[in-house]
Amino acid sequence: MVGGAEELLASSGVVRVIGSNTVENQFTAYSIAPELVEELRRQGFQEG
Amino acid sequence: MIVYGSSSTQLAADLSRLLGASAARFETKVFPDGESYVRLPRIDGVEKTLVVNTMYPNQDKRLVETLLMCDALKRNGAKKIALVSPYLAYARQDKVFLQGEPVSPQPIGQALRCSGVDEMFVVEAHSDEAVSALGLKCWNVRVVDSMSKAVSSLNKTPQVVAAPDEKASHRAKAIADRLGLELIVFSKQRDRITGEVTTHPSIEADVKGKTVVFVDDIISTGGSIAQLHASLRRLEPRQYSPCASTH
Repeated sequence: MVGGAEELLASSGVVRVIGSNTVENQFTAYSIAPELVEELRRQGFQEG
Repeated sequence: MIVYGSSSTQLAADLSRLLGASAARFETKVFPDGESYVRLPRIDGVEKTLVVNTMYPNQDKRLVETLLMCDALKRNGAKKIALVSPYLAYARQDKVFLQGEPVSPQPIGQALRCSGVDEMFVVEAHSDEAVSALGLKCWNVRVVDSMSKAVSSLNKTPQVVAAPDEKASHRAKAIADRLGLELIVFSKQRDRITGEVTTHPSIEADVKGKTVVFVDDIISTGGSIAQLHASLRRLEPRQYSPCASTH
């Protein structure tokens, strides 16, 4: 989020922003790693 | 082997743990004139490498950093490079809207290919058009499961999922279906000259007294979401938020 986005959202009635960790910031509430790992494995990226 | 840059420290750690792969961080710094410097750490077995570096914040810098990392890997024996860049920068300009504009993902993809990227993984990219314009083997990973869990773990589970436009509706619909919630889709018009956005619900949904969660791929200025709230307000929802986004 850029500029005064947080303030604008709050003033318009948003009570919470739920973001992923694709961009690591204070709104990160969930990780996209599980789905990413699933796809990496499907495409042949193995452990080790 | 996973190698990562300055923008995806936590994600690289998560991937390393879940894949059971070792991870090493590129040395990065900025020259006094602002140019980026990277150096591959001393590691073994770079033949098949996963590079993790998302292209935000500071998209231009992250992009150049990623190009330099991939070039360094190629020079040090990498035979295959897979790039994990969850936030795909320059995806908005995925077509020529006004005469004289570029198709931004195309030169980005060309630059990545020239630096040695063989395949790429992005997350909930702005559009399928942007992904195909890259001209790279690229997987656009959907994260509906994780988003649904995050929404359902809220103190007050919403009753309605709102999509800001038709393009975002597949994601919102998937979450609504998974959680058994109602769906409302907005139609959005953007003035290509001024950037001004106007929105209104495409269906007169019954949101009176209900909690609405907005689902979108990205929030930057917050202007679009604020406008959606204004459109919804006359329908008297109980609470306008929360707001879930991928990036």
